[in-house]
Amino acid sequence: MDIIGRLHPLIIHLPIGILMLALLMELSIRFGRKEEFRPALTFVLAVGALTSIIAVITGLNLADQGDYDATLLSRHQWCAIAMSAISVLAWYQHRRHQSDMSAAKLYLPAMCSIGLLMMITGHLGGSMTHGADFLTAGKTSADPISIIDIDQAHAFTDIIQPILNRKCNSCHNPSKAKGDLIMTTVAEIETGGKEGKVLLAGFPLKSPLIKRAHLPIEEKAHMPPKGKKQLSSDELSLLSWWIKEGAAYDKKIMELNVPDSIRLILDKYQQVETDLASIGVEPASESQFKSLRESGIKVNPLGAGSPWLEVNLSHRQDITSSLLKKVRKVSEQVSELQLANTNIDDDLASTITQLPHLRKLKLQNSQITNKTIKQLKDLSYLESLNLYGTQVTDEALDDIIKIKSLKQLYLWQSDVSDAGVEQLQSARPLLQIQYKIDADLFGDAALKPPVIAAAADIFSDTLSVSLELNFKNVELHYTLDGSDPDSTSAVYDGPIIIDRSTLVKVISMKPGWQSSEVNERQFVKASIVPQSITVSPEPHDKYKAGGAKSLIDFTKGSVQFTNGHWLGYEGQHMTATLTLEEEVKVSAVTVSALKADASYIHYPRSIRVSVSSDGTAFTSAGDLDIPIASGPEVPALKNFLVKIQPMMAKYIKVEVRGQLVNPDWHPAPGAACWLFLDEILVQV
Amino acid sequence: MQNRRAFLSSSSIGIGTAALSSILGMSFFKKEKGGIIKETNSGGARGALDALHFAPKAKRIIYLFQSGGPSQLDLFDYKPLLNERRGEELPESVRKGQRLTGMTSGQDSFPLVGSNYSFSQYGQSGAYVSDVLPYTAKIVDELCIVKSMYTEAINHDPAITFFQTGSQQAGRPSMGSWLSYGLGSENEDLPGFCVLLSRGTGRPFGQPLYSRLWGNGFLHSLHQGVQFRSGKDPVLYLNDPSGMDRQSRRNMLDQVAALNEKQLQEFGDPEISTRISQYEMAYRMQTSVPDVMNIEGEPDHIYQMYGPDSTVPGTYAANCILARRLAERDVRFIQLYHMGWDQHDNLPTACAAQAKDIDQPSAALVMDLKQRGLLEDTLIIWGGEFGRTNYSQGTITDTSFGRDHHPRSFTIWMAGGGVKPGMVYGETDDFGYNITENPVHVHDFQATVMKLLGVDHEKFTYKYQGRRFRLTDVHGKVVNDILA
Repeated sequence: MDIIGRLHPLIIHLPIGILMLALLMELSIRFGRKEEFRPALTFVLAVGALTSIIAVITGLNLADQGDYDATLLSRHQWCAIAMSAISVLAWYQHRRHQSDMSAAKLYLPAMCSIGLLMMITGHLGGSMTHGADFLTAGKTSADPISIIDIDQAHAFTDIIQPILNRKCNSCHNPSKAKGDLIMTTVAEIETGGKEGKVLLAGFPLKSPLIKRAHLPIEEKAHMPPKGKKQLSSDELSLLSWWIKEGAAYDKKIMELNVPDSIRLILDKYQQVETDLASIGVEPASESQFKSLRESGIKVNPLGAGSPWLEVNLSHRQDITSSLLKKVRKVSEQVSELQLANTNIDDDLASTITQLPHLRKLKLQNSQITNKTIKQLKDLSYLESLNLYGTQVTDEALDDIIKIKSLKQLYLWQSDVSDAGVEQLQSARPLLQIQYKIDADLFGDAALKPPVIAAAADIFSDTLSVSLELNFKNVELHYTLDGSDPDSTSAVYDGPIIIDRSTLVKVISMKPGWQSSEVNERQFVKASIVPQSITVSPEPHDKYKAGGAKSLIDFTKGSVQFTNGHWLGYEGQHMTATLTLEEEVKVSAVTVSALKADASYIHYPRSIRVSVSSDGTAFTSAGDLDIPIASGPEVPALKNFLVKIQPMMAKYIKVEVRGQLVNPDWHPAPGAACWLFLDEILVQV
Repeated sequence: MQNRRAFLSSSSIGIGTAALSSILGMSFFKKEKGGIIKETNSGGARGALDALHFAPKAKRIIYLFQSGGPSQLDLFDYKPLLNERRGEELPESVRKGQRLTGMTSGQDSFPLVGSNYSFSQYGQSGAYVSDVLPYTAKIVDELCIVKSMYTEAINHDPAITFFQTGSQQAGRPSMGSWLSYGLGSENEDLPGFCVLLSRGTGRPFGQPLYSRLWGNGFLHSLHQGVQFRSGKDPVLYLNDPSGMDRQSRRNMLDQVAALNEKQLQEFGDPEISTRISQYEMAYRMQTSVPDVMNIEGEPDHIYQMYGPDSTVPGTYAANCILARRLAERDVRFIQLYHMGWDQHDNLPTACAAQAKDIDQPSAALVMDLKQRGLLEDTLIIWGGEFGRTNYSQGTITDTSFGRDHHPRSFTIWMAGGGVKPGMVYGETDDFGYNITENPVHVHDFQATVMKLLGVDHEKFTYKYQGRRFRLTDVHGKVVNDILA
């Protein structure tokens, strides 16, 4: 029948609310002239009295089940019984004298007692469940211990007891003592509870304290009980470790054997505790903030309610000692100080030692030397020190070893030697030193080839070609004859002027770097502008540009093929016939085409050129087979040059055969594909 | 004679200027004798949050946004089952009616396809990384890889907008704007929210991005992201017109500010102060921006670290160097976008090219910040707007297949500022389709990022049109497991 008792916390709120209502109604009748409430009040008091009796019954039942502080319990119990008795009396008096309340002599004292007893009973009840000091104690989780040097900390008082306080002692305290176990003092822990000892020194897994924490959370015996705050894995490891090490109450950490895994946890612990540590430092005042900010000092609190400040002066070259004196006004509060890339030197830096609670100090790329480091050993909270790009040498490392609290050290590009770093690391194995990146992490890289820049790919007279690579001390080599450039090829020292169709190939070189890949670009000299052009068949309606004449307007398309410069053919070959103004000796024809295989556009399969002087009888002059690509590639455009035996011509027929369907490797093999052309050029 | 509007605005001047100073907190200009306004060193532009809610683990963010949806299955989330069952149909019991994009909804079959790349485990954490990311693999112990991201959006724009603003519909402030508004700027010479864009080689002409992604929404326009471009005009309309020297500009600004000041006295509209300070900011940016953009002084070994692309302005690699330079100058939020991760087809070639773009520079950025001591308070985030499907879009061939958009699981990584290094968080099923462990929603991610910066995402709100808005809307749980 435990359930009746368990209902107690629920039921008690009924009499509290209802009797409170009765009191309010009585007050309104007396002072607010709400006489109409009078008849209803009897009923309210009746319900109030009845529910308070039920509350008492459930309470008595619950008292049998729990381990509550006996004194608190008996006071609570008798107050509650008195209150329900008096509420019955009040109800009876009211019922009897409702028409003439002046005759109810006991009524008023009864109502006053109800109010008073309600408060007392409620408070006592609360003290039993939430702890006697719940009301008055400020933050419940406050555990103001600061561990400055973890090795000097006491294992039990500084580490273990705070865990027990946080996670166990809300139930296992003298006023509640669940399972007759109290864990607030050493003697009580040793005594254990109803089921005997809670810990067996040296045997964590046999100790009920640890065993119960490892049980599944659904188990009744699991501790802390379901719904309460659980032990974190770090806390559990620490408890097990402490029991294994003999559960000593008076040993310091340094006197115990500390495996690495525990060391890591303790280090964290130290950090957390230092964060929380209220070493009695008050937050800086509004006026202090204001005066600092007006002097141009960036200062920010590290979290709401935290006294700690971050002061940022980085990138300033105008720091003076008077400016730093202003920082000293909040010397207790400064936790992080940023002095990176500043004019801070040893003289100016002497101020830093006057900031006793400094945790992070950033001095990278400043003017300080070993002299400043000497002064830092008094900073007993310093965790992170950045000396990258400063002139500190190995000499400073002896002083750095003395900064016990240090966890992070940055020494890249300082004057410290490899051997010095190694020595420091072996002296302080847990210190994280950032010195330099492994050489094999980022191997020597290849240069980028230069960009070949020119006004156009097609020109009619001469063209200026420049090579661009935005990188210092790099040597650019080029060839114009189609051969691959190397270090013996011409060195670029200014725009190259070309006056004929040319394939420009370039490469960049620099000592310490791998040479770039070869970059190339085909320039075409089109000395002749054909008079007219016809195409057959007509291009696709969607890609017809400005008609056939777009092929001879010297305007190139780009890989963005919807820009109106391209003629597109879907699943078709095409033939273009060009008419020249007069008969000339032709030596080559160039066809510019696009590939974008994701868009089903491929280069032509072959190009055949034939010439004629009358427009009817064409003689074959040259052809070019183009291999099908073997796999997907990024979109590109290319000039296909068809060299022919130089011969006189007025009419030129160019037959371009497309691939018609996608190749086998394509995601849609066999589907109709496109042929895209933007220029056909004639060279003499 | 005062009109109603002037009366109302001047009677609210106290409130107006108080609000403004909390938004701006800047005392960039000080009036001296003779009405000349002089620049002063200010205490930085303070944010709307007077104090942070928590002690911050990170002071600034570099967000390497991989636009288009990188394929987690080809980069980090190794699923050998997909190779074993290549070409087999995706079981409906796995897909469970997940909606499809218009690009594959017409497909009659959904053939599973594994990665063409090989995977190995790296580092102490033993995280799987694909062989197209050799440099990332080497620094995997610095990274916290989250394999269990999921989102609600299935197309690019809503998905990116969701990641950046917490809403799929456009109009809310971007993450960088929120943080610029809340935390202010630590560098009064540069915007608190800088944006750098690059195009990938994997799909050079993929979707563009819209500038509203780094917009300020309903927040003050001071907080919008400022795009830095490569080339001679890094910030548009910033340079003086030719023929105008800096002193003339200074004189002009002084006189304009004096006039504006007078107007402010009369009307008390905080927008006027904002305008004055914006002019001043632009003036200072005329020197600070070229200074930060000029990477000529970077030594060769830095270029070697970031790889060959870093010598070419406008590439992702060059932007990574710029990101580091901005971080060194205490810029609060540095947003990079690298476009081109949208491999609907031709994935094996294109994804490898795209991966090559970002691999070495991203790894170099992490290590470069580390050697400078900046990684401990800089949070680097690498990730896209969604993942890609485990089935092929289009036909599978030996060398080619494609993947469609997949919102139900994808991978991002974070490094530095308060996240656990060398960690792999979350797990997906053997099909790489659904999350089986520790799902992280976009809002959870946003809540976590804000926590790292010391902000409680539930308390940081902005009232607009009668509603208090949050970056995480009414959602989001901090992923405490990944916090160091």
